[in-house]
Amino acid sequence: SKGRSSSYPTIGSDAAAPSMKDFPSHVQEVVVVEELLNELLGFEGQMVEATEKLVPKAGSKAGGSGFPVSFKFQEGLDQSVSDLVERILPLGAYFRRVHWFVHDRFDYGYGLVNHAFTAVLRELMKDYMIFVAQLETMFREKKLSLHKLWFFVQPALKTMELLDSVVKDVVSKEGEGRGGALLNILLRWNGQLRGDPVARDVMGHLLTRASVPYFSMLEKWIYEGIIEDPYDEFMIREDDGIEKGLSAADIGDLYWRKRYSCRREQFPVFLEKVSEKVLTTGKFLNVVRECGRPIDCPVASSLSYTTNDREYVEKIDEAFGFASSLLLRLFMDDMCLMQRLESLKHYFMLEHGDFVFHFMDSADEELQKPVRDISLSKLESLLELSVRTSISVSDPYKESLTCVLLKEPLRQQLPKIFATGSSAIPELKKTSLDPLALSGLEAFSLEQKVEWPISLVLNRTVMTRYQIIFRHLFYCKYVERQLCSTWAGQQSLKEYSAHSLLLNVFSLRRKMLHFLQNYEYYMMVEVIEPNWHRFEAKIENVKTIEEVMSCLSDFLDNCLKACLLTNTFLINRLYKILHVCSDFSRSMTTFYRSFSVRESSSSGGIVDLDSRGSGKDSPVARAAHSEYMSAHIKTALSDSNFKKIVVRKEADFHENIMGLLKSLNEHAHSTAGDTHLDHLCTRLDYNLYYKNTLLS
Amino acid sequence: QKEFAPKMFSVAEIELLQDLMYVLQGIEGKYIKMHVEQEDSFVLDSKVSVPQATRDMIHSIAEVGWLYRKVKSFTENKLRRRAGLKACGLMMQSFCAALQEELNEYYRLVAVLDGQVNAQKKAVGVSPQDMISLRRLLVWTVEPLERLKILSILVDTCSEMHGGALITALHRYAHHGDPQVSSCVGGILKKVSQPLYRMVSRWIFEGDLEDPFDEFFVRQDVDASAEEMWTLRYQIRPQMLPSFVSKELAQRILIIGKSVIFIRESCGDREWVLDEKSIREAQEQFDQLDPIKLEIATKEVDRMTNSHMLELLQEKYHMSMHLDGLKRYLLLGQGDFLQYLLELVGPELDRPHDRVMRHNILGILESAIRGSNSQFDNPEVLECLDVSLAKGTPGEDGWDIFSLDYRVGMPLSTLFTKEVMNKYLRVFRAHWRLKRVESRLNSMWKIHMNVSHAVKTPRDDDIVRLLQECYMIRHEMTHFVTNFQYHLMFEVMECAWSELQDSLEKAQNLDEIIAAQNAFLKRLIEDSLLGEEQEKVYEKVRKLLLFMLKFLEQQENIFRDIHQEITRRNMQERVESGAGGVPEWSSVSGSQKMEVSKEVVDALSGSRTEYRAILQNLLKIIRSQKNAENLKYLVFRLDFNEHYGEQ
Repeated sequence: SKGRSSSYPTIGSDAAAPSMKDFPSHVQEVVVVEELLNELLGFEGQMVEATEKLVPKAGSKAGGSGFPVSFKFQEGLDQSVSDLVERILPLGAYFRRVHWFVHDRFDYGYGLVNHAFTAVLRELMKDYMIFVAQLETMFREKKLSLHKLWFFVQPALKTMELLDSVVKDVVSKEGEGRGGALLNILLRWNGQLRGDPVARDVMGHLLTRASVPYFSMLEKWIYEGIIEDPYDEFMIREDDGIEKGLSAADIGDLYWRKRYSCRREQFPVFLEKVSEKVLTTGKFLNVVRECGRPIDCPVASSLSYTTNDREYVEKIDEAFGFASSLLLRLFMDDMCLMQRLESLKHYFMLEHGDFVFHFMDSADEELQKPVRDISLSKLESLLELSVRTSISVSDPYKESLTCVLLKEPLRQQLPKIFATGSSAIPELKKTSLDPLALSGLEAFSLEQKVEWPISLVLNRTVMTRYQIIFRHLFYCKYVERQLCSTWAGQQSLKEYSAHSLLLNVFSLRRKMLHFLQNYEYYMMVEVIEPNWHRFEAKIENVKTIEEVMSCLSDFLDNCLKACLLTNTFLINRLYKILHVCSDFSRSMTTFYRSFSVRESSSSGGIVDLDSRGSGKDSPVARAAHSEYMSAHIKTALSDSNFKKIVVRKEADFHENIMGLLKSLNEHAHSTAGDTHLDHLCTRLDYNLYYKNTLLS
Repeated sequence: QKEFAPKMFSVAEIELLQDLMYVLQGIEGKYIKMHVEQEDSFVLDSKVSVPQATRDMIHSIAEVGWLYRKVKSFTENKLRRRAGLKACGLMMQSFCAALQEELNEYYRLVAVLDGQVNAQKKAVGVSPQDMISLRRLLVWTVEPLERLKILSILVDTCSEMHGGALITALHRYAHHGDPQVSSCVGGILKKVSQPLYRMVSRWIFEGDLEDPFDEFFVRQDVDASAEEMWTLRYQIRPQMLPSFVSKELAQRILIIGKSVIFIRESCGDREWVLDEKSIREAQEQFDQLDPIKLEIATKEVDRMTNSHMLELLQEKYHMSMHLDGLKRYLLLGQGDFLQYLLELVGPELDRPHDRVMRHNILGILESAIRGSNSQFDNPEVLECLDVSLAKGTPGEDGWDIFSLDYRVGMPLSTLFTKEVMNKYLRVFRAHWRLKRVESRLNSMWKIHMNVSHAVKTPRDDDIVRLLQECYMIRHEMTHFVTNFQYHLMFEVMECAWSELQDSLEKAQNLDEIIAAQNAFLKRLIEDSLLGEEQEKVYEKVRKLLLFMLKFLEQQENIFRDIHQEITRRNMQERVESGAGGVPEWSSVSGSQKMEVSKEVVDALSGSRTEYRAILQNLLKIIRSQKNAENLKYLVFRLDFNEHYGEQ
């Protein structure tokens, strides 16, 4: 299309270039008015000359070498006439600039808000042109003098001046003159001109019309969760690159956080307060939509510009309420989130503990190996076997339970996680530890496969915390089991009168078991259960899915904290104790095993069940054997090496447990409100045994 | 009228206005001509002496005429081609018609303006309010100018577009912030999409594909056979898919049409139509030319059409029954029948492949049916049961080429295509092979028992040891066969079957049924190690099975020898106890016995090593499979106590 520009051939113009001086003054006025009428419509008259040219940007539609926007009338006019003309002339310039702007922004690429904005400008300009045409009629009826003209153009002058300055502003803001940013420019003008009723009306009109496409995008987003934004104008951006993954570990979280983000620059000021709400409303709906559920928002109503921000806030609040309850229902009712969490509790918090014991029995051998020798698939099948033979067989989510071998032991993982402040998985730093050399026991953890969209709630962060709790509990249970098997070993020596020699061993084991069992009891009964009940009660009343997420994270954090897992110092102490226990029971087991070997060798040859039964039948042989064994054991027990081991373990244990108790006590006193720690102290040192020892 | 006007104008304004009326019609006037250099623009004759402002104003108005000319010539060109060979499509025709309608509005305006100009020219005393001037004309043409600009943009971009692509382009332009523009383009879009909606409605109600210009997003492949009707004949044509029709919706529309054709052609239900009421309801939605309504309307039609089709398949053609039949015969679900068949057909299949007679086998099949519970089976299923003999290569015997077959007619053959049936047959052959080895192993056990009952303990200790060795190796083999079979039948087939049942229950249309069956077969084949990429693995299994057969033969020989040996010893005993006999015979056989025994023991231990080597190899390969996840239990079972792994 062709612009109206001065690039047309100008052959005719020199044909008649009359000078003002040729006319008498009454004719002068008529000629001037005629010239002005042309000028008002943006057509360059013969008697004016341009003082300012507008050079269009390269590549813009208006094209040409630029066209004049300000004019000066030819010399030779009566001074008084000239002054009046000078006052009217700018109107033409305003019109030109606005016209040029509308023309320039005709391109589709400027976006919907610009379309609407130029549409309303065009309408105003048409009104203005009709007005000029009416002036012409008056002029032809010879009723239009220069003074009358000045009187009539007053309102138009005001409006066009305003439009002109707004347009100038928009053009000058490179890259901002679109979408929400364009609305912001208009809003700023609106704010500045609030005192002037005419300007206010004009700006109000501009804003109402220009914001229509923006509001329809907003409606689509907050009522349907769809972004329909072909020209990138909306305040929310969709990143298509992030797909909802099923297998990738972090994706749930990433999807939630990164899939939709705000375009700060496109935020209209009146929505700034509720920006987060707008974002989450759409996100919620989007998740529901992705799950293939229909969305029919009952509170949907059309939004339009108003001076009262309150109205948007209310409507957005309504939409938000609807969306969040919809998503909450989706998660709670259709996706059975609570059952999921219960299932997680069964496994990761050992609520259904029987499978753990099955598993430990069957996988013990495998777990003792270093990671590089472990066959994960074997562990998995053992795990599955233990789950299937346990009470959890009725659990609907047992299929998604698998196990993983992590790269660092819990103790090294913990400080990293809590040091960063957030519990997102930290970058795996190069540790001196070879991850393949870890024992299976240290690396083992359960893992729950979570599908989309549940993975939005049970994201990596949450799962990591569950895993921490599980690994901790699992290790405690494991050590307890070791101690118990030590007890079983001791039972085999029962018949030999070595009891008195083993007393200190018995009592140390008893102390260890007492410690472990009480600590476990504390974790299970005093920490996890009450916290779970609190969590359940809170969940009953939640309104939004984000609340659910924060409740869940509170629950996990409380558990972690109360299980002493957030305190590096305490956890180090704790693990020292656990290691002492584990070492102790391991050396004791080896010790007992050496006897059972000796026992079998003493009865001579390979002993199978039958011959053993018949051999032991005679009381005499039995007594003799017993005597023989007792003697052996006594020598072994009085061996200084053995004694040394026991004494050292005992000292270690005592030192560490007292250290733990001391710092627990300090901790309990320093942080008021942590009554659970008091309970733990009381439990661990029920009869003040350690305290008294400590004092003495 | 105007004292000063004559001085300024060489041509009266009214003359220019009259000229402009022509220009608005796209025709050159007396003074306003098409510019010679800048073609395609109207320019006032340079000899006419007018002020620059007036000249600019005229050019400005003339732009409207120029734009009109462009749009007009476009529609004329397109429509002229209608009669010619390279006719434009239905949607382009609608587009042109819509443009014409827009232009009609424009004609009306020009006529009114022309009336005013003429009146002014004739009657001198027109009141100033009604007078027309260049400035007034300028105001009058503001709106047509905008409208024509939009139209010319559409004309520029859409000139070479076709069918669905045209609709997509218009749809994009209709999304505009200016309500006037969007309603104008939206109106055109509505008119242009009308043929599309008509096509959709013909397609989903009648199954007719009426698309002379290849504009519809469903394409027909005329070469496809009746069997391939469902799978190949109709396809989506993606470039013709309008942007507001989602892929899912297009797929749904495709399926509805296919179902209608399927019902009418393949199922022979020619008279079938949706009931009138639902057609009317759907049609009403269609007439609104709204993408969302399209979505809703097709959903309902989809449900009704496909439920009728599924009903037909189930009620009239007994799809489930045939699936069940397939499972029982080709996937070895009917145990007694197969066992019996195996026994009967064995001798026949032992022959070289070119001497296996189909009619013999058919007879055997018949008697196997009569002699087992299959005789009470639905005759419709039994009718489908057949035998297929593959083309053998030299060296193969009957076992290699034999399989049962199951033949169904239209319309179920859409579901059980040749390709699908081949997969079933492949699974059958694998199972059959295993079954054969199993039955051989079992019958060997019988012989073994016979022999071992004849043995007398203190005397025949050497034989007992030999027998034990045989027993051990054979037991390893039985273990493999049983567990492999267990894997195939339970871990793989039953699991896959129950999945198939679930998805069949949920299936809404034939596509989903086909997909369900394909998923079933895929799982069946891959987890049975029969996939195309797994050829090497199954080769190992075959090797193992062949080795077992070889071993069984070897064992048969051994047992024969042992039997003789025992008979000899019995004789000797009888001689020694004085029952009479030939003394020298015993001494000869005695030395012979030692030799045989040594050789046999060596051969046996050789077999054992070889067997283990093959098995270990197999296990290793299975572990490295891609779908090892599903096979881990197989490995776990085959090597439960890591007996083979450790060696």
